[in-house]
Amino acid sequence: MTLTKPAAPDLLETPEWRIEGRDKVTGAARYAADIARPGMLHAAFVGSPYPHARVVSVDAEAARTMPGVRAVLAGADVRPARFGRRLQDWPVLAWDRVRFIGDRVAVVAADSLEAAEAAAAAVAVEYDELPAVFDPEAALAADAPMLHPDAAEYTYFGGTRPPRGHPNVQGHVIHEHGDVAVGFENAAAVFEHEFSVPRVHQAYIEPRASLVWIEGETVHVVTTNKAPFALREQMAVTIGVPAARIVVDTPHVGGDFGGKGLSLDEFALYFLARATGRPVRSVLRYADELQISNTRHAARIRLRTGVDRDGRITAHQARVVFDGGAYAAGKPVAGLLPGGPTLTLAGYHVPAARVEAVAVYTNTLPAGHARAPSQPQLTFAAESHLDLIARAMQIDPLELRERNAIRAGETDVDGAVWHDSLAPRVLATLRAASPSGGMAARDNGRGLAFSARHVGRGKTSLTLTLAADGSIEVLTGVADQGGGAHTMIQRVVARELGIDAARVRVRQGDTGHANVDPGVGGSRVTPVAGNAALDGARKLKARIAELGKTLDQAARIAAPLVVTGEGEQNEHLYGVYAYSIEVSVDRETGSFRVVDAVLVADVGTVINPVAVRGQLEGGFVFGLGQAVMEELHIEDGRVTTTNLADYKIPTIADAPPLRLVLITDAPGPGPFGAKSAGELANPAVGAAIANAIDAAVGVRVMSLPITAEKIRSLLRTKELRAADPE
Amino acid sequence: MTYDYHEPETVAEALALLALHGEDAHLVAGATAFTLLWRQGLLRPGHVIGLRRIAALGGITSTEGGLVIGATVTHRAIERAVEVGRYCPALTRTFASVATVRVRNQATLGGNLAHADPAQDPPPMLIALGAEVVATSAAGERTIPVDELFVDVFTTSLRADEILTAVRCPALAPGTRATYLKFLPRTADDYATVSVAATLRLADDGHVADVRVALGACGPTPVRARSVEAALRGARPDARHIADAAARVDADIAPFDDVRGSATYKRDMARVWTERALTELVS
Amino acid sequence: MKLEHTALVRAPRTRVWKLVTDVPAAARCVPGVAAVTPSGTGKYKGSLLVQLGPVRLVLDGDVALTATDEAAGKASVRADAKDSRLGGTVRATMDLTLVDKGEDTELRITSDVQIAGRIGEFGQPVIQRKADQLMTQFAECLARTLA
Repeated sequence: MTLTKPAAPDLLETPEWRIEGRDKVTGAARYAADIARPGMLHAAFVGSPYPHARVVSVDAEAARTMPGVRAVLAGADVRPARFGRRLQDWPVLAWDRVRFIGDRVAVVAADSLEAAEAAAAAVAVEYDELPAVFDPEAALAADAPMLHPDAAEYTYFGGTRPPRGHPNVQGHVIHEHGDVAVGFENAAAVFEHEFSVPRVHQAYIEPRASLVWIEGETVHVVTTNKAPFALREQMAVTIGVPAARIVVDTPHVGGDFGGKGLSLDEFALYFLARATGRPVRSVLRYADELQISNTRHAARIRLRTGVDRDGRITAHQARVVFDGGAYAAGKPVAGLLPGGPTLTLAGYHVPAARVEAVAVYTNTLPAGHARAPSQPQLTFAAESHLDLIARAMQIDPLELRERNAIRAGETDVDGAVWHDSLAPRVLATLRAASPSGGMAARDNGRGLAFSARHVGRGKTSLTLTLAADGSIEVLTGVADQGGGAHTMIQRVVARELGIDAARVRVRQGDTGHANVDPGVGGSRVTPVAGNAALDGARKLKARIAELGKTLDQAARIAAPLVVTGEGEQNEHLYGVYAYSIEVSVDRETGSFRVVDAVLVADVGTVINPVAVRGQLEGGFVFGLGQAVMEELHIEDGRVTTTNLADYKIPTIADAPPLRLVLITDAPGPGPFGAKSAGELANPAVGAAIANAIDAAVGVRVMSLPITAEKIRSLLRTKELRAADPE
Repeated sequence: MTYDYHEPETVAEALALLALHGEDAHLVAGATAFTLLWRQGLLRPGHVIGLRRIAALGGITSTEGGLVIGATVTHRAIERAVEVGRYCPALTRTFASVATVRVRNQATLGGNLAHADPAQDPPPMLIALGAEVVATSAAGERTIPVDELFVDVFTTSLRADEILTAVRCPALAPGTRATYLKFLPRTADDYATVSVAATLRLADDGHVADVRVALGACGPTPVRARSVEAALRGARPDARHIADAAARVDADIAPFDDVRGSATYKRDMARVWTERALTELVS
Repeated sequence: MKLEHTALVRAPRTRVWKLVTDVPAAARCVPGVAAVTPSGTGKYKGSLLVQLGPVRLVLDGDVALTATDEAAGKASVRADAKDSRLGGTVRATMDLTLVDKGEDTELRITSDVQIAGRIGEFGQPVIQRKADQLMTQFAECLARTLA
């Protein structure tokens, strides 16, 4: 008998230690709101009480003379400074017009937050109220109040702003491919349904915070913004200071979920810092997070789909109306719609489609990006729609999806041809993982939902330095908003070099030190920054090989050895995923429980095994919250859910059991074949639950959130109808 | 924004401070409700009088089948007290269902009642048990049935010169059963959409001898469901009688629309959960 | 938030009209109102103390009679007030309609109340209830005053 030494386990199969984990659990980690500077002042804003009004005058005399007050600025002091990620349409302080309740008209800097708040309350603003519009459809009427008469003045990054058919349109797009008319003519049946999804907040724990000071000619910004380089570019235009003289530093971020790409306070803080010569800090109150920050877009979605006798899609038509709120500033993508606004039937073969999406200005708080922009809205609609079609056609819902799931060589809803597709495999895996046979109880039901989310695209670079002690430092501009980006970079480098992960340190540099990076978002970090880390490690390996030495020898003789890793991912690829969720409904109350949930997800090679589970399990709970309980209530433009006691998000006690089935053997374009995972789990929860409820008790909820009251009300209507068919 | 914090060691000292600072003073014990309002900027007292150091306000005492709970005893201490479990397990469960452990470790019984939040858990249960509070002023003590303590949202019948010092739970007649049901359709960490507390005792002949029902989150104050009680008292507690009695809850409540449900839904749920509570007590 | 209130006043319409369009006199029927003083034609300054449990609001502001049509029995009042200590504003528009009911008069009040800033964060159902209470007491007091 021979004994062989077991091969060292692959680093990627070993659960990771989070680089920042120790600091976070011990409380040593510092967040933007923890950072102070000597002589620092505190800022407090004055917001509009009106949804739409002309600013007639701002009287700050009383506020200026209050104790501890160092500066009071109004719109006239900052005009024409406006901010935004793609379109700069949001005034730093409104000088002539306020467009939503909470829109800022003045700001105070004082020695203490209390003094600043007291002074802000003493600023007297005279308004002249204007007619307001709260409904996006109403805002598109010919005689609707116009929110942005000065649109021609706005800066639009990256070319010319696309033309608009109505002044209240933020962005408008129509995608069309195939012969839609013929597709509908050939259909055996055509189905049309309308769905709606409300405003929801990203509900991270850490509110936005920022600190700005000016040192010589340099403007320093400490921020919770997850895309520091992008903020630098936006800020340069807003404040009229060259980007090279702005340094943006993002420390630990306490949750993002898509919301932290937009900065609100930094610009006004700059003007205060300039006026006072002192550092100025602002931490958004959570009540303001819920009332003035960029939420997910509410949407009304009308879908029309033709199918043949077997339920195969012949044509698809959709109109998606997004409530964009008072400003488009929160939207980073060209076209000024939330990303992917036309991907209604993502992951299906759609031979002919016409999908129109429009984002509209209304006198409500602005909407922006939230985890998997557009997808929770569109997937709720599309996957509910397909279930209704399956029900009407008397086809098993999974069977209907299997018939339509996109295969290699077929065209998707966006008109793109997929060269390869994991869609059939994901559905087959789901079938195998779902219990077959009857339900455990009479009012239980199982629903499923299937969709696809792009693998992130973009370009970045980072620097690797081999030190004399054989350790490697990676300098990156990627902010880790909690997803595990830095640990991912560390492990990619360590694995490629065949060294212990602990030998690789990842340091995040501010915009003055690190290489340009597009920021966290769009499921981009692992495929893009991961590829940069891999490229850097390979270059380092090559340099060491040129020297003809081992890594440790090279470290001793040639340190510091510095290389730049470049990463790019431009392929249009999708990660496919599907849920099967069983609910148990209490007919008398309409309340329900998720008793079983299975998620099959195509994630490619896993770099951080713990974080992938965390992203998918966390995404499930995040999606569950937005599916069943979250809604920012807005009445006449006023947010009435102003705290987390009324705006409820799930707690761990609400997290149902989730069975994860990962498909990891179909390589993607990221390092070692990685794909993305961060946005796969949340979008489809709503539809899976709505479908499960229909299966359980035969009622259909057409809007999120799926509340007990809605179900109870539908059941009651159904009972009454059964009792009295007339 | 600051205030002077006072820590009296006797009720008399606390009353003197209250008399001295009047409307500019705010009483706290665990300060959980106060801190929320203060941080929101809605309360700006010049003086805060903390009651936690007053020994006489602490402690749980068993008394001839009844119970006296000091005003500054925390929810967690009540939840864990053997005497409380022995007196009425449903009371233990009621306190265990309030918020989270962190909050329960801080929030006190007296603070809970004086805050008069209509969606709180302990008030309906205390009403159903027939409990009363002791209100102490310079003039002496008086007792107020918990049933009569609540006047409006966040408003009690305590006078400005009074401090709520204790809660007395009476001895329960042998055979009395009690329950507290809290309807949480959104998340486990929420105020109830409706809640129902009930106590019930059957006579030897199987008819209902005593019944008390109270609801939370069904109006500006916790409410006693006297119509339900009247319909059931003396009746045979079969399914039909219970359903009929529960349907009468509609006359006892005045819920309003909020994020936890419309008034219509809450009326429907008050009926359903009253029926469930009563059914549980006779099964 | 929109509120509707109706009260039957045991007095003829002309008397009711006289009272409701006399802002300082009518304001005495709103519990918590302190001095109302004229500040121009049909305009007044006043202050209102509102107690929401432990929270005390002191609302200082302007009240104006914005429209009157005695023949139709219709009057409109607008109030804009601010609590500068807590931070927050309240604005209310009230449309009053008087309808003859034999010897009595029916008073209908349709009001739209908007509350912004910190005080609006107290909890909308609570505020709504308070506003509703105030208007009910106002209508009842008017009826009582003239009976």
